[in-house]
Amino acid sequence: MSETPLPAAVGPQDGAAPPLLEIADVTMRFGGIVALDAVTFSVGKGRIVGLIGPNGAGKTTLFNCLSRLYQPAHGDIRLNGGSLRRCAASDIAGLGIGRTFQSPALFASMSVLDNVKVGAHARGRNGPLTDALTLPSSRREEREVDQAARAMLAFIGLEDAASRPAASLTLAARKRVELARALAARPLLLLLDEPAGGLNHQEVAALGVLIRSIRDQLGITVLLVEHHIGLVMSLSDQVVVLNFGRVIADGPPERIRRDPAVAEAYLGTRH
Amino acid sequence: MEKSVIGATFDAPAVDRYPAPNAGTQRWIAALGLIALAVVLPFVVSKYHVFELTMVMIYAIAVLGLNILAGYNGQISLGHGGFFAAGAYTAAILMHRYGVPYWATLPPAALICFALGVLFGLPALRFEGPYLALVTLALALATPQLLKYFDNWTGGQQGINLTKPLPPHWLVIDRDRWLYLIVLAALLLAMRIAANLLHGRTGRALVAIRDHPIAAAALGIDTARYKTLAFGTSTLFMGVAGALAAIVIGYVSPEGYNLFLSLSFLVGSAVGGIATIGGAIIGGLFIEFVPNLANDISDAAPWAIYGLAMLLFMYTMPQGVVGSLGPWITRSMRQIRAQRAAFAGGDEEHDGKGRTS
Ligand SMILES: Nc1ncnc2c1ncn2[C@@H]1O[C@H](COP(=O)(O)OP(=O)(O)O)[C@@H](O)[C@H]1O
Ligand SMILES: [Mg+2]
Repeated sequence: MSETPLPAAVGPQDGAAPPLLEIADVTMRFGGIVALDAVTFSVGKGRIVGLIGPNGAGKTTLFNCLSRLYQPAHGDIRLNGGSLRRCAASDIAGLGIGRTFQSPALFASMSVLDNVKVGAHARGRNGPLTDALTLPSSRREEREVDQAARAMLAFIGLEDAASRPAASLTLAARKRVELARALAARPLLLLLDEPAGGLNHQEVAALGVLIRSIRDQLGITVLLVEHHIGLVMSLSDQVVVLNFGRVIADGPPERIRRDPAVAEAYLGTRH
Repeated sequence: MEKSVIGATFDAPAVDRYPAPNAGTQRWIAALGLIALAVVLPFVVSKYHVFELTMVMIYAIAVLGLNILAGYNGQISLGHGGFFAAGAYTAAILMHRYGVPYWATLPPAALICFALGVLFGLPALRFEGPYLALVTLALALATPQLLKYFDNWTGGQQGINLTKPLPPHWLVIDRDRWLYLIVLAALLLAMRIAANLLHGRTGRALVAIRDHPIAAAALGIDTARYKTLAFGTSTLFMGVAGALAAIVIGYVSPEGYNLFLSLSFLVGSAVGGIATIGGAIIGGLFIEFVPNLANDISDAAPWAIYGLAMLLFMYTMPQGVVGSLGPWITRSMRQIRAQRAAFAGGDEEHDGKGRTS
């Protein structure tokens, strides 16, 4: 991609480096409902971490806390050691957390390409004045954004749809565009909320390949919420299980598979 | 997360910001042709029509300002006449009291109205959709009264009479045609600036907020900042339009800036295409001519005719004239080009879509 003075994603790493994301004792309530109850786990750099749990377990709520759309009652969330407590929702993308939504949240009136360009907003510098006057610097940035957005569309395999209205795409394509839009910010950490929801068998398989290449080729750490257990187990280095807002298991997929508490709370009851 | 229910009250109009690739040259030729036509026009029509056309362009600047806010950013204002009035009175007071030359009143009118818009836009952040419309309605209702209240500045009920500016002595044209050309230049500049603004990072942020505010925030868009900016930019355009109106009409009075003016801007905006730039000119034409036409058709019930015209436009072109016809023209042009390319033999133009057989 093009050369910009902005931080690039860090490649996959192992070893004793501090985790990229630390979720410490996060509690979130809605009136009487405790949606998250002292949730604690961390996500290492360059890993794919699955987050599973029955409907209503609090997975989306946790994502919304990470996005600063919700303010948790307790606890702290740290990215690269820095607390997010003080951040506004609109600071999060710039700090390196990108996300997709459970039901695709594209900008319906915009073209596919423009949707992805909005993804690059956090990395941009152009302001209303430089835009209004179209200074050479603003032209340069627009060219770079255009190239980067097209490159992202090529990465997800939708370059032919660049000028189509986003609303005209199939669900699977909309989900991919949303992914490209999140990637255009070049996040350190990508939050995916049920990316396989509503997809057919082949589409799920293709999605698995795509998520793996997001980590392997782009070096982006992934936190994956998904009901499709096969997909989660095959992709994840680590799986965290939530039930009624509580972490009931956290470990490598083989161990989660054999965990009796998980089987009872989730796997056993669903299949 | 679902899109907020209130935010989704208005159907998102299609946004006119995607010229077909490679249509650049044709667009430029068409634009230059239209500009040439607009420059020649005042010299072939009567003086009164020159005045009317000048007002069309002033209303177009105002509608363009409203489009930035309501069309591109999704904030409906029923009170923009108030900012038009602020621009008009800024120009009038500067000319009348301080002897400022007419052209020098435009930058202060723009700046003052930008500041007023930002000040009004900040509390307006708390309101969305119909609630924002009601808050701005209050502004529209209060404007004439406010103008009367500050009568030692505004001249109260009598308003302020201004002497119409003269063209420079080396130019042998009359003052109405001179003003027409000034306003034309202002309109072209306003359209250029709006297009630049809306086609870049800022414009994408404005539309993103309109389409899905939560996703916009998650992508790093400071929604409060951009909504306030949209308000200020839109009232800046209003202020310039108001100042030009004061200069061209040579008179300001409170009754000229009532609720109906505010509503007219919104009607013009919707008729032309609320999320378009070119639609502002259609809106200006509607605001200037349709009330008079309605009067000519029936002086007993002109407003029924006006309403009927509005319904007719909205029924046949729900996205406004430019919003509805624009995509159709773009599609047809693309088809023609594709056919031509096919006819020329060999490779067809390849843009991945829009071709029918
Ligand atoms: N905005 C909200 N207001 C009230 N309750 C909510 C809200 N968001 C989530 N909840 C509640 O929090 C719990 C967790 O929901 P959610 O995070 O959506 O679960 P999951 O994504 O794991 O299916 C549910 O009981 C849900 O009803
Ligand atoms: Mg969920």
